Amino acid sequence: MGILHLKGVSKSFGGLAAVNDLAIDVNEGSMCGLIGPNGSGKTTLFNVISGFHKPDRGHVIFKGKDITGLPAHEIFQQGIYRSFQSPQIVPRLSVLENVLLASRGQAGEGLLPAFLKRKEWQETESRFTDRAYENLKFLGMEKAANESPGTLSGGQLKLLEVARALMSDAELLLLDEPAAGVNPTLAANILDLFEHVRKERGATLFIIEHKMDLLLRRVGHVFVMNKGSLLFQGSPREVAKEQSVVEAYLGV
Amino acid sequence: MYEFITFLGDAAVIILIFATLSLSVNLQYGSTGIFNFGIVAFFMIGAYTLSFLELAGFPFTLALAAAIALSGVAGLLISLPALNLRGDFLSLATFMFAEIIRLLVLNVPSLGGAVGIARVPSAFQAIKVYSDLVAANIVLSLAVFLVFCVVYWAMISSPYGRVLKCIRENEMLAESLGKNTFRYKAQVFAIGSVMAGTAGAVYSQYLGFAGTELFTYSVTFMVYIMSIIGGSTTLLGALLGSFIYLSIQDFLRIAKNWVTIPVDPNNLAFILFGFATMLILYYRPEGIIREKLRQVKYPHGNPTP
Repeated sequence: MGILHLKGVSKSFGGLAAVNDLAIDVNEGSMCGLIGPNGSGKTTLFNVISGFHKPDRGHVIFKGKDITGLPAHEIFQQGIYRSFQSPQIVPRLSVLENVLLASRGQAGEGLLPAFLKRKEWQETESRFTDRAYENLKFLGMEKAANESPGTLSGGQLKLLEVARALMSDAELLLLDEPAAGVNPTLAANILDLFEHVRKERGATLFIIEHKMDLLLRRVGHVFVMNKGSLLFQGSPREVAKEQSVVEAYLGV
Repeated sequence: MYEFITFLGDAAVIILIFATLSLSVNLQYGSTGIFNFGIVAFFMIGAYTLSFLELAGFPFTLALAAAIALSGVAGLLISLPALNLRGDFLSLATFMFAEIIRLLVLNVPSLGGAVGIARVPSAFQAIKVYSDLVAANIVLSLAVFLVFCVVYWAMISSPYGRVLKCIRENEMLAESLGKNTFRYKAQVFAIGSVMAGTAGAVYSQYLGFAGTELFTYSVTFMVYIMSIIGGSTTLLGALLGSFIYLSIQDFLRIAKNWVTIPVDPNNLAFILFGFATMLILYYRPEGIIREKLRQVKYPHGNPTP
């Protein structure tokens, strides 16, 4: 069994079965793709895994532990980071602090330690600040560290998500279109950066992406969803050849 | 001259009490984005608790401690169901709560009823000279305000405060990054209620009175206006807002003795400040004193591991 294991997961909204009896297994340390036409239930599936939706039926098992229906903040604590399709920012915090929000194990985020263990969290804070700054530098964004993320370009906002993912030390990254809306060179760069995270940190990547050429060249395994169900899974080569996938995408 | 100085001293006490209330709004609304429109309820709970206990013979310090505890517990209890509501509904629910509490007290004679509670003993019963009493109350209200300034600052300047700002602007992001947003909001609501309750306790012992007409929804509006004008995201903004609002209100009350004002000076203050709030919200929504982005110098001293 892989690091992430889904058993018979279903989620409906009214009469619409957004995800229908889905079973998926993601191997530890792998880079997996999740593709499918718009409205096929990919983002809903991510919402179910990351705790934003409670599934109607089925189980989500992460590292052998049943995490079905846990609230989103606890799922993050378990070691799952998720990004959203549109970049999420806090405009009145600096870019650096936007990255720091993703850090794990800052005692100063608790009410009593914020008062009583000032020295302790300040030490952690300065260590985390250095790390966040290094991450931004690695992404070529150190000049914007003290600016509001409202001043960033669309591409830089996508890079901010990379910086957060690096900061989160998560074992599983759920990335919802990490390269959407940016130019092809940057899109390729972003995917390479995440590939770097996987190799350096041993993280597992599960990526929704519509830029098929970029995705299929990098991932080891692809899941194809259509109308809430798993249509096909296999290596990129098999997926590209599979007739049903081509039909689902082209609608023929 | 003596009258003028005691008048200024009296104004200072009231300004400091309302600055504490305004600080409570800054913590809840300005820093965390919680639209608690029932803040007057906690102000009232503090005032009535202190009044009843002092009249029952308890010393001021014990009555104050009880007022703090009760307003905090009330805040926590209300926040548990209310915080599940989103923005507008939360403000409606808290607004209704405050009105229910006020109407309850108004209609139950044993709680004071329409008459209110008179002859609430002052915290400084030994002081007989009026100007000395005012001076002692300045010290008390200043001490209360400063204590809560330290509390506010410790919360806002820490990683805890960063999470609050994230909740204010992007609750979904906070939740996805492992922050238990409900717990944060409940804590802020409870601490904000304690601030308001303490302010209420100081208020009623200073006035020597607690009555429902002091705790209508217009107090909530007034405090929000102070907070928005002064700057709802900063510590000094709370003090500045309270100072501006109350000094102009007092000025209008004095001015009416010299010039003819077509409307009641209190109402005129509301009209003027309603207008000013609209302008501020339109042109400078963060108020006169604004929050700055925290600037970090690099390197911090510790090498990256």
